Amino acid sequence: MSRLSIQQLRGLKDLIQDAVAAGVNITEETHQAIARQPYALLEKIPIIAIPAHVIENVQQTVTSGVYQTIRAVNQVSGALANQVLDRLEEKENAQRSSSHGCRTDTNDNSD
Amino acid sequence: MLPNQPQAPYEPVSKWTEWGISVLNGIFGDYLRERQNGLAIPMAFYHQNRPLPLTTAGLQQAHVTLSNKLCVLLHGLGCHEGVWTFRDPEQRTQGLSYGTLLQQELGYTPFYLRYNTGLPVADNGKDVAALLDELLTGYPADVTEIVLIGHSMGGLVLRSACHYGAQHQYEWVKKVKQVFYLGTPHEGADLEKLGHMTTAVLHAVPNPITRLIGTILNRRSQGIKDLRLGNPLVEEWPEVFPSASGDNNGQVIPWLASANHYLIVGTLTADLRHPVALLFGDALVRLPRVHHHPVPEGEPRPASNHYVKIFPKLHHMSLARHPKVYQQIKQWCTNESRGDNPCHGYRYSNSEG
Repeated sequence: MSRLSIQQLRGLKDLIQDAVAAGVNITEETHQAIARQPYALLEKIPIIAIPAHVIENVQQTVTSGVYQTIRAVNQVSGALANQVLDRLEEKENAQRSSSHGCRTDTNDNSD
Repeated sequence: MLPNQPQAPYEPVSKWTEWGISVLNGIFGDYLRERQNGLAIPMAFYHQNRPLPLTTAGLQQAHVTLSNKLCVLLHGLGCHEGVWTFRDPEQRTQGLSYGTLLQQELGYTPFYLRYNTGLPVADNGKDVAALLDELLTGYPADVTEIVLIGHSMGGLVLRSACHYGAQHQYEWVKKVKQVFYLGTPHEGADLEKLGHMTTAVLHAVPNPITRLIGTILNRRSQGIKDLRLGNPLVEEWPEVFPSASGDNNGQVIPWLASANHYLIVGTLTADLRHPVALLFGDALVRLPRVHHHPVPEGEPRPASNHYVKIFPKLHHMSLARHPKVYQQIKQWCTNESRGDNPCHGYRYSNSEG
């Protein structure tokens, strides 16, 4: 089984983050469009038009809050994953440079 | 140069991560490139699952023998060069491919391209043209002949590469003698036609859910969308047909006139006239239209230097790795070197079709 490189892992992380962000956007858009339909009907009835509008605003605020929370979690998770990947990259670079150093020492000795 | 000298065995690529990345590139390749995502595959010739440096030293290290004859293999959508690998059931030999066999038996030095199949076919074609030029620049021997083999989308990319190569007057274009298209959707892929139609219908329905599904479906790569018409020059259409917005309109796709073009196609059933064979072809690509009836007047017509071979009961993916297909390629290559016309298949023209 071949391992993904740090660059590819970062790419995978970005792709998942992008997919979640796009999914949240498109779901919110569809959600709001569907939720709008009954309010559009209710607004045509003069007696309940104003309360329906108020309820719709409340519903929209709550819904948007939920989606914003998901976006925020996505951002934070991405940032955390980035930190982990940075550490891994540093470790990998350190290992690479130390193995390079060993080789140089050997060469020096042979000289 | 000793072309028939035994070569280092071709290391089969079967690692699931490579396949996963290739599939991702096939579906979202243009998006990955646009976002400079680390998963986007940069185009390169690959040897033993690593990009091949196109320097004289790099090439000499990869191939024990660098002959005067080159064979370049391009995989199809969502694949990588591992798609060419097969096992000979009779000799029980593993890690074979058309490239290794052509090298062993006819002395061609094989080069396997890996590329981001989600990019527009025309973009990949331009890059292949430039990469082949780079290959020939670093190649330590004098190249006398190039054979191009493309599976599925790879065939369209090859056509595009030949077109741009000829436009840029690259030297390699003059050396291309034969181009093999294995299950290439020159007339468009039905699955993508269906995908395009479905997306259009879903968007037309005034319902948020259908629109949502349509939008998700529409996220597929431009590479996939280009398969609808099978035209490798899609990007030129807005200039050629300002109002066409994607219809072929009888535009004749240029084929490389100096080379022979060999179309190898498969069918799901043994009987070529079976409705399943006529409807689905090799499961993804239908039989060329000229097989059923002559091309109507005014429609794009392939050049006379085209040959078609149909393999009954061979599905789309098998075309890239089947001993019978290799035998056909070998026979055509042998005939070409002798200066004979192909014995099998038929000319892709009205008179003989």
